[in-house]
Formats: sequence, structure tokens, C-alpha cells
Amino acid sequence: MYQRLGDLISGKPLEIKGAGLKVAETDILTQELLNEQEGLVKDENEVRGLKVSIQGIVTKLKNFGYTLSMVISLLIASGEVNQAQAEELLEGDNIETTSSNDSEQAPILEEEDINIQIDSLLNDCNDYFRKHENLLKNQSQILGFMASIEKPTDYQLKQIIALIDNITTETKKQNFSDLQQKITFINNQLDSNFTDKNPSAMVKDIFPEAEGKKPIGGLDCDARSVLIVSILNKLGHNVEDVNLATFYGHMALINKKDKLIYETTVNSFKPLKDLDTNSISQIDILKDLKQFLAYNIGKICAGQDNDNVGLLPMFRSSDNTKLYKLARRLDNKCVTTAHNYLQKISRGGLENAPEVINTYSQLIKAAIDNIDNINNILNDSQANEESQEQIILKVKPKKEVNLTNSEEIENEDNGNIQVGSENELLPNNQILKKAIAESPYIKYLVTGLADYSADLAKKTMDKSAAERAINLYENLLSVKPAIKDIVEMDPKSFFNQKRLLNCYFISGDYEKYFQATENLIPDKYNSLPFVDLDGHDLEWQLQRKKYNLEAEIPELNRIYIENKDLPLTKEDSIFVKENPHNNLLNYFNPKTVRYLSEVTSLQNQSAFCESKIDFLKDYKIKYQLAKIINGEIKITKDNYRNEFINLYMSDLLNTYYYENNKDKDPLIVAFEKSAAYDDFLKIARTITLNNIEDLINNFPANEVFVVDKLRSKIEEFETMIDFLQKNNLLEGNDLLENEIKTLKSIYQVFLYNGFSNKYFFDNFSKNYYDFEENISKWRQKDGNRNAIADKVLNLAWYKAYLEYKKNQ
Amino acid sequence: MYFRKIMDIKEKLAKIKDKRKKLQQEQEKLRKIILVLSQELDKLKIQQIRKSIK
Repeated sequence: MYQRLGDLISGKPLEIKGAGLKVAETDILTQELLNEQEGLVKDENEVRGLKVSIQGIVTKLKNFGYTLSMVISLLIASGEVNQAQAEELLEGDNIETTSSNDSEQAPILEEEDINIQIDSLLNDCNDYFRKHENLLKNQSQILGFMASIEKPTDYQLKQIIALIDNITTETKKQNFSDLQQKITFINNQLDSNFTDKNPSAMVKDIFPEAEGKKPIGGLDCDARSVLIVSILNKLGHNVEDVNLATFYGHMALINKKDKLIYETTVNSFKPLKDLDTNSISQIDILKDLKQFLAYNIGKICAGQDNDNVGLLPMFRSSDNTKLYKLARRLDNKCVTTAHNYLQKISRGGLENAPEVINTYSQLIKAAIDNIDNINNILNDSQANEESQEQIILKVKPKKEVNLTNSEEIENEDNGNIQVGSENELLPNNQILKKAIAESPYIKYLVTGLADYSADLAKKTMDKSAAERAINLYENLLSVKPAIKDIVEMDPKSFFNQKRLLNCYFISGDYEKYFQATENLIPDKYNSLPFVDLDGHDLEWQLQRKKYNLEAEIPELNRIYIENKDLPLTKEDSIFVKENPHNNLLNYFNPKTVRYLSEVTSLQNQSAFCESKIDFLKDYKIKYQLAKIINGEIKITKDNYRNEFINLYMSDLLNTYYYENNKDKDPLIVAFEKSAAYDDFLKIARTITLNNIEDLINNFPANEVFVVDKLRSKIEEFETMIDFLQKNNLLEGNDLLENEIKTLKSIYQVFLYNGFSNKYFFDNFSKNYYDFEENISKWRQKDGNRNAIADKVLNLAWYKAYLEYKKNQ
Repeated sequence: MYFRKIMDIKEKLAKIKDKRKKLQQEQEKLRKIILVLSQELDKLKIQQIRKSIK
């Protein structure tokens, strides 16, 4: 983008892809080769330089007392390398080898029982509390919890307490008509600046660590909520008046009695009933220490993952997965912690899969429960019963907060992670559909789990993962807004549809696969008819649309160059108004930005057309293959050539044959396992290629114009086939697999020749080498076949191709 | 052998591009590692400064 932008500013026209080559192709290629060679040298030097930098940093770390294994642990924790790669990277660095004491020194949490960790964590909090008991004993319990977790310095703690005490005294002096007024007053007293650009989630960060230093940031939603509740607590209010509530990445206050929600960052109240279901499904009302701890530990973990904020010795873990688990054990309904955890583990390997699926399932269940919980509050039922269990805001002053009461935590069932399978955790489909329709957040979670399961199924060919994904996608699709997304050709939905099709295949439900593909195509491309009046199919129409879009770019370019020095037009002004957040506008002419935006939009539309074309091709092939695997179409000698053309000359099998079976398509795997594959191999070894007319007849009717153009070349090709047959080299049952491949290559090149120049060229280069390689194998294997090799190397189509290039 | 020449160059180009892609991935990885190591080093330096102030 920058390069393009630079070109534009200098007035140089954009280089338009596909605009045609004006210089001799070899010259361009040679120049490109030279540039690439130069780039290669630079890249190699850069890698060497980076390695030297790493060695330098490691030496410095070593001066701070780091051992080799500590550095290796750090590197592994970065997620970029495994043990062996880390060791290889550090090879040549003369730091000492791993000592047996390394594990004791390394700042990594040992494999400990999670209960011991909870105790240790709570002990750690309790130690802080005891040390600061004098300051904290007259404060609310929640402030005690907050301080024990955040561990502010003495200076910070004194400042926080002074702030709370001052505001408490001030508030007492005032008369308020209701609680809302009182909360608004307190919040204003805390800090009336509600547009702080640098808020911090930690209460302690609003004060400097020591006198004369600068504080880290201002108050954010978390810090405001905790401080307000602490002050209210001191003023004698309890859970019946106000609760802390967490959302996904957010905290607010809830007043269950008056059924209000209080947004501390904008200092205003809203009736709970006015809250949309999306927000309601995320609300987790904090009732006890466990939940408060869970939320805060999750917050600290996220801090470690994203941007290290004031790490405590207890949390000096380069792998905080255990800490996350601990937080989840304390409160598995904590939305923010669960999301941060998911973000971490879903990027990892397959070993995390059960945990990812479990976490998603729990989040979905919790989100649905949350809707019920809030509805219960709104209906006034259970609200009073629950309040008796809640301990967090009880006003009774305690002499010592017993934070090490982990037995209590362990004995409560709802604090433990549920170990049931995700199917037990997920609600039934009826409830799920209702929830998806009501809450975009739940839809987001269900889509996340469906996508993850589908990708997992593709990687592992696991039927149960595919079935789970199918169930979730079907639920998503049965809800109206989701269908709307598809009709609007939302790319995300488009790719989800492709995932769903794969899952049907992996699960072996071919019936559904046919139905879904048949339903998908007309729906998906409803703006384009399946076959237009001239008999052009969808693929042709899309290709045309793509070219038209691309053709607009040079035109746009011309208009831009002609007008770029003129004053801003109305459209430019509208663009600036509608895109106030576009950073580029701060630096560049809005006219340029608008132009680039339009170009990008055209390129995106064109790329989307291309992906749809690929999908269609894929679809056509998979559809046939599905029928073959399912036994609906039998591969016989009679129809072999038809299937052979449709399937084995496709891009799908190019991947299979030419790229060494890397990342096999599930369809190919399914095909190989099916009985049809045996049929295919059997017939492939006995087939002869003696009837070119068959080939012509098997072209779809609307591609007849292609065939006409090809006919002359086909005739030439036929002579070659004749030659091979006359030498008895294609007859009989002895065709070996690589020979079939060679014939396939010849056929492929021949067929592509007619379709489009681009495909022909792309595939020709790929096939040509493969073809030559096979020919040379023939020569080595069987001297008698030299004649064929010579003949084939002078093929009619090859000459025709040269002719074609010359005329172009 | 016009066509053959094009093919040769294209083959060479493909190989070099592939190699460069791998090198760029390697660079990306190394940069991330440098970031992780420097963050750790920065933390240690800050700790040291704090200690010296005390």
C-alpha cells in the first residue's frame, strides 16, 4: 500500500495487474530474476544479522545470571520455536550448559497440583493482607481483596485509602434523594475526567509507586467499580444495593433491587430491562471472593500475554496456562478470563483441542444461563434467595479476612470445571437456536466453536468433531439473520459454508452434502443466474464480472491522475466525513485516500469473484467425486474417461499428484478409502485412449465454442495418440502409474489450452517438467520407447502452442 | 528455444521466491524472539535500577 501511495504522490501511474505485457517477456523475467537474486542475498544477510543480535541479548541475559535452560524456556514460551529449534538457535553461544539446578532457578511454575497452587495463591494474598492489616482493617472487604491481589506499594495503598476515606466523609455530608444520585456523586469525586486516554484496570496504577514518581494511568471501568463499591460498603450499603458485574472485557455495577445497571465510565444509569440480550448474555454477577479472584487472575494472565503489566513474583511464569486453569477453577463462568484463555489455547496444537471445545461449550452454557439469571432478577424471583449467599459486600467489619479458606472453595461444586463431554455441556438445539437469534454474542461463540471443530475435523478427519460442527452450523443457519448473511455474500459466511460442506463429507453424510451444495449455489449467487440467456454458466459469468471489475481500475487511475490537483470535490468531502477514523487521512490528501479506497474495494470484489470461481470449480469436482464415493456413479470402462476428465485433471488432484500429498483434501482421503478407488485404479491400468470423439462429446454443452476452437488441435493430438497406439504402447493391461500420469499431463495441457490462456500457461509450465521427467524415465527404463519420447516431445499441441504464442 | 528459456527462468524464479519466502518467515520468527528476549532483558534492567535506587 505504501509503495502504491508513494507512486501516486509522485504522480507515477499505478501498475495495473493484468493490463498486458508491453516489453518482451524474457526481458521482464530476466529483470525480475535479477531483482529476486539481489533480494535473496539481502534476506540471507538479514537472517544472519538477526541471529547475531539474539546471541548478543543472550550474552546480556547471561550477565544477569540466566542459564541456558532459562533462555531456552523463554524462547519456547515465545511460541516461535520448540526445544530442538531453541537449542539449535543458541548453538555456538558459549553460555554454560544446562545445570541440574536449572529447574529450581527457572521462573516457570512447576507441575504442581492445582489445589496447592490455589492455596499458595491465597497464602500469597493473605501474606500481603497481614503485612498491611493496620491500613486495611477498617476498610471494606473488597478493598482488602483488591489490595491482596494487586499488591500496591505502601505509598500507593495509603493514597488509595486516603482517597476512599475522603470521599466517604464528603459523601456523608451530602443529602441524596436516592442511591443513584449517591453513586454518581462518588464517581465524580473519584475523578470527573471520563475521557481519560490512558486508563488502567489496576486501582493501584492511579497513584505513583512512590512520592515524586508518575502514576501509570487513570481510572478504567474496573478500578472505578471496585472503588465505588468499597466506598458504598463503608457507608453501610450491601449486596442488596449494589453488585459488581463483569462482561466480556468490561465491568459495571448492578442494583438488583431497583433493577438498574450503572456504567461507571460514563457515570449514568440504565434500567436493566432496557439492556439488549447481547449484553445480558455476558453478565457475570460477582458474588464472592472466588469470582473476584478468578476475574483478577484472568486479567493478570491477559496482561502477561498481551503486554507485561507489573508482574508479581507469584506470576513470574512464562507459561501461564496453569494460572488460567486456576482462575477457571475458581470461576468457570468468568467470561473475560475464559475468552483470554481461549485466545491463548486455541492458537496452540491439537493437544489443546479438548480444552478449547470445553471452554467454548462452558461459555455458551454460561451465556444462556446469564440470560435466565437476569430475567429472574427482572421477574423478581430468586433475587432475595441469592443475596443470602453473597458475601462479597457484607458490611460486617472483620478483624481478619480469611483468604486461605480454600477448603470452602473446593467443596463448592460450582467452582469446579465441569468435566462432562461438550455434548453434555451444550444445551439442546431448541434452546441454542433461540439463544443464537437473541444474542449476537452467543452467535459469535457458537460460530467460534463450529469453526474450530470444522478445522479440527479437517486436520484429524475426526468424525465426531465434524458432527459437532455440522450440528452447530445447522443451528446457526436455521436462524434467520445468519441466512441473511449468506445471501448478502458475506465472505465469512461463504467460507463457513465451505467448512460445513467438508464436515458433511468427513462425517460420511453424502446425502446432506449433495443437498447443501445444491442449495448453496443458487442462494449464494442469487445476483447471477445459474445459466444466462446465452447459455453461459455461473463460472463464466463470474469470470466476466471479475474482468469488468479489474478493467475499472485503469479508468479510475486515469480519472485520479487527471483530477488529483483539482480542489476537493463533494465526494471527497463526503468520504472524509464518513471515514473520520481513517488514519491515512491525517497524512495524505483525502482525494488520494478516496481513490485508493475505491481501488482496494474493486480489488477486493474482484478477489472475491475469484474465490467464488475457485469454489465453483471445487464444487463441480467434489460433487461428482461425492457421487462416486457414495456409489451413485460407478467408475466403469465406459464412463471412465468422463470421470477421468472431470476429476483427475482438476486442480484438486494436481495438489494430490504434484505436491507430494501435502495437506490432502478430505475428499481425496475419502475417495482413496472408498471401494470406488479400487475400481478407478483397476480401470486406469486397462484403459486405452483411442477415441477422441468421446472426449469432445463429454464437454458440457455450453462449452461447445471452446471445442470448436480446439477441434484443429484435437486432430493433431489424435495423430499422436494414433502413433502411440500403432506402436502398441497404449494397449493392453500394462500401463504403469507414472505412465498414466504422463498421459494425464498431456491430456491436461491439451485441455487447458482451450479454456483460458492464463490457465494454460500456469499449468503448462507445471506439467511440462513433470512430463519431461517421465519421458526421461521412459528412456532409461525402456530403450524401445525412445521413439515415443521423441515423438511426444514434438507434439502437435506443443507446436500449436508456440504458434499461438507467436500470434499473440 | 524461446519457450524453453522462459520456462528455465520461471523455474529459477519460483525456486528463489520460495527460498526468500522461507527466509522471510525465518526473519519474522527471529524478530519475535528478539522481542521476547529484549522484554525480559528490559525487565531485568528495570529491576536492577530499582534496586540501585533503594
